[in-house]
Amino acid sequence: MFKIKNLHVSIDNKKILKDFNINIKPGELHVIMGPNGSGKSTLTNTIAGKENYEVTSGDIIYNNKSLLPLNPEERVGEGVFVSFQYPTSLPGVNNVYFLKEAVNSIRKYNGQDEISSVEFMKKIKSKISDVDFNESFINRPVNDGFSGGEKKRNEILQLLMMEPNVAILDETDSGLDIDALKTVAQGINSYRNSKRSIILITHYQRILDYLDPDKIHILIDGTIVKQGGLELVDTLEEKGYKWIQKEKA
Amino acid sequence: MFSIADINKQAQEKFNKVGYPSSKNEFWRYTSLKKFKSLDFISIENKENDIKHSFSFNLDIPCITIYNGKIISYPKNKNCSLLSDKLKDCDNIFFDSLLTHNRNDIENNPFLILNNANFKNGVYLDLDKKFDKVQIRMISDNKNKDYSSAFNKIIINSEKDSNSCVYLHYVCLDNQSKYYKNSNIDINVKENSSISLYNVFDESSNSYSMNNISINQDSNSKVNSKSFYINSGFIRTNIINNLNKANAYSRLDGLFFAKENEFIDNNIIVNHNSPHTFSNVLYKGILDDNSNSIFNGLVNVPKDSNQINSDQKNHNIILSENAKINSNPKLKISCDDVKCAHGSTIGNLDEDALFYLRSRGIGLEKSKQILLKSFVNEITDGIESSNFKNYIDNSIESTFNE
Repeated sequence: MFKIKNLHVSIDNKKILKDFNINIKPGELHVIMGPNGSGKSTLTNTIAGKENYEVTSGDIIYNNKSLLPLNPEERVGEGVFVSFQYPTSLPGVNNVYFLKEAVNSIRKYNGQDEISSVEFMKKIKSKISDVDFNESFINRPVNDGFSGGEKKRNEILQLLMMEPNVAILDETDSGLDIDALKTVAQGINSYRNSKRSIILITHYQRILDYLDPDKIHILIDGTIVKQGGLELVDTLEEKGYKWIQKEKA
Repeated sequence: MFSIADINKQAQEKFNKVGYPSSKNEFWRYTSLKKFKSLDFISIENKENDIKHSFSFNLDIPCITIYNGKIISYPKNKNCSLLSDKLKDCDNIFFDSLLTHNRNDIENNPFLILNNANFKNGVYLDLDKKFDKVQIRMISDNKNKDYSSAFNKIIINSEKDSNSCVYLHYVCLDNQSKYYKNSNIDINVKENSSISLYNVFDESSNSYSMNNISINQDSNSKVNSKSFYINSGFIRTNIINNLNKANAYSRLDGLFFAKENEFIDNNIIVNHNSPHTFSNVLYKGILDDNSNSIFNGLVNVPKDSNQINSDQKNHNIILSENAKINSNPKLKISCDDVKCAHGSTIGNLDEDALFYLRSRGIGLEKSKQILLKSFVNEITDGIESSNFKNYIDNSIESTFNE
């Protein structure tokens, strides 16, 4: 169970997340939607453990263990993976080397042996076809010179290779054309199983047509103001966020 | 008949006039010779059997070994001769070509004059299609408390249409030994020929290594030079690259890891002496501990050298608050129709990249190593010999792991 409890986060003394709460059981897919500036990316960066995101109170708990004292590499070692809205380019770092290092670091953290080269190559070959990459992609530098859509698919490739138990996907559907959107959705669906939890942060209804979310959360001004099922998305599409802000007032 | 003693004498007279540069000379502004000038040097008896050392890389190609300035082995063939022999039956033109202390800008290179004033012998090489690879070891070895000195001189011609490769290894037998090594490498790259030049500096932490490398290029010639600083004490390297005829191309790369109290001083001058010449300078530095480094670059485009293309870059990563770099890429352009770029960057490791790697489970130290490796790959990627590349990669890795 992944749980965020009464989380307050500030950046440079500015309060961004205010009493944020979420609870996700294994197998569930939750969607967080919200207008620009509501704190969505602050949430992902805080979960990933980025510096300068100051947790003033509250907790992030996975498997009854707080993630807050852990550094970024330990958090993903525990099984919590974050896909970023703007993945960083690593010029000069070969994608396949990077992925192998990532996979082995996590295995090492969990006391497992390194993956053999043969097994690794077998796995990556099957996963790159899931995200519709051709093999030349894995030897390119990580995200360097990638289009927006390629970067997002590369994040999904990392997700599929690293196989975390909890995935937080920050606007993984932004800037994608229809085909790429389907590919990303397929990637998420192939990752999903009864033991894994997903939080998808998005602006758009489009990707939800391909997924089967359990719960929709609306985040406004750092707080979850409304929760519900898919019907909430339809109302949002029709009336916009102002409807909730008005209702709240 | 000419002799080395003639050259020594003339050069000594020149040095007596010119002397060491002051800090007002812009090529020496950040380089202090105060301590060096206070030293006395002893001469060392050469014992050939002292060298029973396994060297860091061995390439299975012809090798010239120079031990404390004395040439102790070289390939015995028509392509390779001692300067002393060459002088016996040479003409005036050849003799004059050795009087490099008469060059116009010589006041910037006192160590070149001192090399001419003190060298005892040198090696003369003709590289052609048959004799196209050579490794030259310039070994310093001194077990005394006082500083020893050695003067190395190498003259290399790459013959027309040849394609050759030279490895210059500036090395010591003990990384604490005290010595002053003064090396002068002159390279003439003839029409339609190309040469790859690898300088590897693996000097002791107590050494003074003063190097003057000049590269003169004819038409359609190509130079690919890479310099690697593995270990250093006080190192000053001047590279002067003259692109004298049309379609000469040079690429001068350098990679320096400055650590502990090392001082690494790079001075790279490219003279586009002809129209339609092309140059590319890329020096990368990783600066740690209390080290001090310099990059001085100058691309010089005189009047009437139109249609040239040059790029000059120096990028540095600073890992310690106490490390220092003075980076100064300069252009001197006296005509209109040219394309010249220059720039330098100095910074820490990219925080976002570091976080991204860590967010994928890779630990902080390993993430730093990956980023440093990606920084240096641009320089090491073009190494042709896999043996040599392995040696450089391993040296880099062990530096990162320290």
